[in-house]
Amino acid sequence: MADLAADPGSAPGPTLTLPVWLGQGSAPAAPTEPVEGRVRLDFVARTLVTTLEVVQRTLFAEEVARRDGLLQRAVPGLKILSFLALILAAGLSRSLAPLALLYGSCLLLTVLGRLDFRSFLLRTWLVVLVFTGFIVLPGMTSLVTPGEPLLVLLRFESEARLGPLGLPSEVSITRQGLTGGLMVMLRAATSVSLAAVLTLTTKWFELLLGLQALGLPAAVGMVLTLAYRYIFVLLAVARDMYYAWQARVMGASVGRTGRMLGAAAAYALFFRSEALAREVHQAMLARGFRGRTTFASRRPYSVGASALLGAITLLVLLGAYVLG
Amino acid sequence: MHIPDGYLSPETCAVLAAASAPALYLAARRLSQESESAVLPRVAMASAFGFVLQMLNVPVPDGTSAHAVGAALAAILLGPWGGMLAMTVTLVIQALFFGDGGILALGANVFNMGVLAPAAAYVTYQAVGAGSSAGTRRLVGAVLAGYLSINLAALATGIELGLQPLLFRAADGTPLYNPYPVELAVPAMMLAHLLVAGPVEALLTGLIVGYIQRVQPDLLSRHAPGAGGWAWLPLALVLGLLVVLTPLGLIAQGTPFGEWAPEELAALLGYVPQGVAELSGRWSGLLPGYTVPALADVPGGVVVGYLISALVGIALVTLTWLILRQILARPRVRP
Repeated sequence: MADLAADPGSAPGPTLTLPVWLGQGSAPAAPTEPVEGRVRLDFVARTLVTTLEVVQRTLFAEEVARRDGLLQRAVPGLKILSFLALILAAGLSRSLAPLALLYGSCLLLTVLGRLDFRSFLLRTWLVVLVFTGFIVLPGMTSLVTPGEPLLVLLRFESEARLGPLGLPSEVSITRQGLTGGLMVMLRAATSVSLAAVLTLTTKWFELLLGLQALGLPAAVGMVLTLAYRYIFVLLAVARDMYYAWQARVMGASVGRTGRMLGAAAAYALFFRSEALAREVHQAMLARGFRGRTTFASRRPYSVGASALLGAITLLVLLGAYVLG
Repeated sequence: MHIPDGYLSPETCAVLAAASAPALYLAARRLSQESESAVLPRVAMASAFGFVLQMLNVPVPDGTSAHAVGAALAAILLGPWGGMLAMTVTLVIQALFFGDGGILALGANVFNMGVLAPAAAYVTYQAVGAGSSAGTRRLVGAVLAGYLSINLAALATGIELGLQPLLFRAADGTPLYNPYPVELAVPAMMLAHLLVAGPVEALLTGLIVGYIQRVQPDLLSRHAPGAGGWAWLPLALVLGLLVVLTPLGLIAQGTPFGEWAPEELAALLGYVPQGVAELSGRWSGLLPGYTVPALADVPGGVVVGYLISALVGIALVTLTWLILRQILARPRVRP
């Protein structure tokens, strides 16, 4: 390959002369250093990962919602009402005992919804510990919540100062702080888990069916449906744009160029969403849309499953009320 | 910024949901006047756009990447009402299907990011870019709208969280919801937003508006500053919400530095300076201490006094501005 340009006259008949630079072999690629530790994603990769996560989560939810569990067979309206009542009870609970009961009932519902128990616990507690645990931790100390000391963390000499600030004689974890912090964490875990069980075991249109049965206006339901469905269309547009960018540009795409790409992508998305709105409106008119929307479900709902869910909910609510 | 369940009491969430409802009702009515059947897909697509916009990462000057919340951009591109509805639907979908933000806390999240932020962004964009068809002022308006809207939403979030330990405590002092008081929650929220999230939002809003201005400026002129006769409504909305929140000042303990009454000075210093003693009693104001004297002994009269004081204050500022505008904007005729 390297000699083609150097010996143009060796072949008989008409000859094709390659420019010298094209006949030269390319320099070997620089050896890549093994990447140690966490890989830092650039903005293109981060966008692609985020869009992929949304699609993955939706596909997973669709798969769980198709399983044949007790929660999946319950009437959507009753199921939503039950879960909302339990989330509200968690919000109104003002001591640890009712919250523990509500969280326990949520774990029971996880089993009834045929969810993978271990991965569900791992996912929800990871979210709770990361987003709540670290935030609540300083709030358990006497610096934020004064009260009866349980564990002394730091002890200072009397009248110690940090610059202009006077330091307290000791910093401790207080009983009030610990109880309050645990309550926030348990309440967050219960609410996040209940919301996750509800949305994972209910198909999108069943959720809307249930919300409509509870009084959600049809127009709002339609806006939610359209928005939800077209999120994935726009996600595909965004993903394609970023893939195209990744395929055509060598090297790290950072700084001003990258920011201009982001601006162009946002503009393209907005433009596409406007065009989609016009197309959807025309399609609605073409199909004789008169402002009425209905949602239909082909799944046979079980009266027994609905009654059992209702009974469990009532018992748990009663228990939470008794516990305070 | 998406508050999860557990940090706010259901009572707080209900109040904030009720505060958001009139704005959203107005927004829905305003949009449905444009075209009854076209409004549904428009709002839906705008919401889908708002959702996906929050996923578009863009490199920022510190070497990492970030994404915009998009409230300012939605208000600039869709108008205040379209922006509010789009942000609200996006927040509902995020809470219901992706666990981003709590279900009970939805009322608070909608208030902060779905109503307050787009309204503030639109008012800022209007005020800075008003009467200008040129790009620079609009661009500055967009950047300021991005910065102020996200910071106002953060401030509201900080106040809501900070009020929890003041309003909801057990008898033994155990905080029932967020344990951090206002003096910790507000600085914690504001520091991150004033220094990091605010500049990022401003940068991204400015970049996108600048790009659209270059390639398709007519997209911006639909909701351009000064367009439409309802431009004052978002401002009225923001002011109305602030008026409703004014009684929160009653919760604050102590007197701000330098605003002591002679009696308080006497307690602090042991004496009242002569100048203060001579001048302090000469003018006590129409509504002394933001109270209406006639309502002082009526139950709830202090709260009503705060609300009346806020309304009177707004009326006086508006009147002053109208008089100044008449004087300064009068065409000068040279003899």
